[in-house]
Amino acid sequence: MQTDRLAGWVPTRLYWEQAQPILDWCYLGQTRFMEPFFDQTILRCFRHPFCVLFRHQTPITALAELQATRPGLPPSGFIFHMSRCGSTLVAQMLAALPQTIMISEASPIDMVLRAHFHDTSITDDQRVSWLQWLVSALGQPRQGAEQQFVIKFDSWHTQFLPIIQRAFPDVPRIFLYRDPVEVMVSHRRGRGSQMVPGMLPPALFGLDADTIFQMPLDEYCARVLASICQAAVQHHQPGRDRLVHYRQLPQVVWSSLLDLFRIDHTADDIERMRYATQFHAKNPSFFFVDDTQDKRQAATADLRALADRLVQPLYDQLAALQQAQDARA
Amino acid sequence: MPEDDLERFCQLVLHDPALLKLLRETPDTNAFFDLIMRLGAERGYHFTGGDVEAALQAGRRSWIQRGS
Repeated sequence: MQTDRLAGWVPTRLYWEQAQPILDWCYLGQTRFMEPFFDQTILRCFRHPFCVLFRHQTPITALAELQATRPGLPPSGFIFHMSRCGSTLVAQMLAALPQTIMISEASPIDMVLRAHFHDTSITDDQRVSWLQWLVSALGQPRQGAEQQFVIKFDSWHTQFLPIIQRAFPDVPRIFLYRDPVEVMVSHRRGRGSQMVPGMLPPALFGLDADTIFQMPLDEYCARVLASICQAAVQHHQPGRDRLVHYRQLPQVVWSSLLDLFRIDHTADDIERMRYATQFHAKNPSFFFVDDTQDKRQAATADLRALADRLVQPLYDQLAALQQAQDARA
Repeated sequence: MPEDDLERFCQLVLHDPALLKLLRETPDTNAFFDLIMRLGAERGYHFTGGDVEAALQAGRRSWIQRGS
């Protein structure tokens, strides 16, 4: 495919047709990724019938051609997280900067990382290459002013840190974490898809397909969180990975993370980020309200017991790693 | 069949930068429907507004299904 025809287009879905990986592209032109999540920006574009009716479908190899002829910005930083711990706030603050491309939980990234679950013949080498090509496509400047590019991964993508680290060994990474009781209360009030048994392959979290439907939802949630945190601990690279606790937000973004991600910024940029912190990160129509105490008070004894037994030990390891990190700074 | 004509016309447009630009720069939905049918008819493709609406619904559905 002539790659100049893909200028202004973004890959939005990876799917299989006759056992071949195919990309579904949407025309975004100069539309920035401003919404909390990638799909929400695409759905905003879909309000124009043009974007729904006219979508390029290409083999995944079109990404390699595009990278060779029109490489995107190299990624400046990666955000990993355990969910419900302020990662969307961080992303929304960075999305407020006009010089930054902020991609949040893009489904084609998820599909590439999980491609081997769909087709067991897909190798790690293929997933590394596909990820590199896809990130290059997502990092295409489409307005002309973009200088930095940050990706927020889905929470379960800590399971794929070895692949991501191979594909992008030099990109600074942060892992956001929070008291597991507060995270579990958040999921009890509104379960993320990763906390619904069967939505993701149980093997991804080291769980058995026969048992996940027998256990209470809160226990499934605790075991998923434990698996996510376990992977973050296991693949932590001191000096390369930065641990960030929820309680450090939002100030740590402008006091530390902008420099970590090498995002050039002005006083006006800081004000843009401060402005963004006023609003609920996932529902920007509402103002932000700190609900930490509310969540702690709402935790039931059984939820606390699950958090203490299954997640707290990993949380303590993360805290110890951060203590060592802060001592080196 | 009209739905085949619309599919073929969409493929033609995807390979024609000038037509792509013309259609995406028509922000008003009613004007878009009028334009796509006029452009299709001028090139010998015959489909109705109902065919376009059905294709839009199918397009949204396919995108959602591909994400699951």
